[in-house]
Amino acid sequence: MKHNDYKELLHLSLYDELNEEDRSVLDGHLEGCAECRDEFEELKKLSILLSHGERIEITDQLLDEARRELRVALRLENSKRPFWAGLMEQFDALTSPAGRFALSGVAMILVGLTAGYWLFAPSEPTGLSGITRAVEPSSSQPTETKITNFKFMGQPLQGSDVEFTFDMVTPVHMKGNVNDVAVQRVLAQALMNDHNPGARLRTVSAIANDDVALKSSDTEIKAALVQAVKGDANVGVRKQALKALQRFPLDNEIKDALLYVLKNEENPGIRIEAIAYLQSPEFSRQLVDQDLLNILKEKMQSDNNNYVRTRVKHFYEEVQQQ
Amino acid sequence: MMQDLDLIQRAKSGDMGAFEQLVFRYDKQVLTIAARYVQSSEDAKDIYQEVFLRVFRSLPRFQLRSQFSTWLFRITTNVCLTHRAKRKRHTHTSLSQDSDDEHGGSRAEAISDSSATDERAENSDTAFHVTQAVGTLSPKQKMVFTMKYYDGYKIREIAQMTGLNEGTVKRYLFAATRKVRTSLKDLL
Repeated sequence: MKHNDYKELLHLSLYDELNEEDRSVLDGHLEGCAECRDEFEELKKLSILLSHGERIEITDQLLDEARRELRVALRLENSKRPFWAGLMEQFDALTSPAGRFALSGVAMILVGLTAGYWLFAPSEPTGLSGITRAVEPSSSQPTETKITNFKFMGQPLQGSDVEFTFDMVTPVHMKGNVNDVAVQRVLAQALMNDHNPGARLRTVSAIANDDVALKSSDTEIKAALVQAVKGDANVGVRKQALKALQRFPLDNEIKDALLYVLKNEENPGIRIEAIAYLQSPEFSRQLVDQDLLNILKEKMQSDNNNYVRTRVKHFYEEVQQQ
Repeated sequence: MMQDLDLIQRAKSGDMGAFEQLVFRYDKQVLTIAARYVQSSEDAKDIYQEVFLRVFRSLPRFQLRSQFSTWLFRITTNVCLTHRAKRKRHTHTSLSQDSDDEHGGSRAEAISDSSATDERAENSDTAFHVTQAVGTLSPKQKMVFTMKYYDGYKIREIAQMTGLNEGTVKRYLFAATRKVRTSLKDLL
């Protein structure tokens, strides 16, 4: 090994990058080489000196500021981004021959399915009744339909004719994927109407699950979640509903729900969740209105929770900067 | 905890919450690398923002062939290397002002003239000289030098993060150490 090679080992030793073998080689050399010993001592002094160099401390405050400024920049970036740019990016992935082949296959299947639907679909009313097509009564049991709220209508009819109303309750066993629109509709109804908070909590938790692919067009689910966030009697349901709501794009309807929570929710944890969602990069300038500013102003001064006041204040400042 | 891959895929489909989670996972490291390199919190924040905006813009084209963190840190070092300081550094400014004091001498002389032995003053004097010495390095030398000495990364990690090979990182590092050593000769 040449003398210069030992010098390289000296540096590596200083950087704490020597393996055991090289270290013992270097130690052996240092015992017999005064020049390298001197150099090693000087390098150690240099190392100590460098440890006195100026260093910017990465405090939580600095990180917070950086994140806040990034959020504002991302919002601007988002608002500048034309719709077609996003669309083109999606198509970029399909520029390979395999991608184009797959795309044409999918297109053919879609055309076939659409044609089949128009030719053979039975004409049934849509809406909530559409669920029944996806729902099958438990096949192993006889139908257990119960008739309640039975009433004869008006005057008795002539002869053997009768006219009456009643509610028909049929137990339904439903097994399906939460991504299925029909299942989602039932869940939305359950969330709004079920009297059991445990059932509502399980319902909203199922919707909040990350595996569920919610679309902005799932308006029934969204409306049910907004209603739950605003008015469910159970705090757990409200919290989960807020979490699930964050799966939708932040629009005016959700913004209003979040402001309602900020203004009226008793639980500070949920208020903090609401302000965190408002502060997310999804918040765009178009969502700023006088109502928002008034509520933020009021809450940054009068909320009974310090942290909520601070978060609201930060958000208010961000909004003002935009 | 959700994997980077899941977050990337969700972020690619426009889920800003997922993008934010990705940012929060690595942003302290990004800010630290930037701050050590530019020695200014304001410039470090600029770099931080530029890095994540570039990530945001390029994410749809990210092919998942490399790890997200490798890609992110490569962007970070590139942004650092091309960054031009926009704002005057507070520490620099004040020290420079000191060096132009009415005695016409440097801060170091002013301290020794007044026989000040206060440890803090000595440390700040040393810090000033060290910063000056590091400031004489070329951008790439400075990058690997600060990552090694101040952030404590291994040569292998620096190579990954900068996209250089290990031999080149060593070369920059040795050259930088030699240069800094020469600049600080009087203090050794």
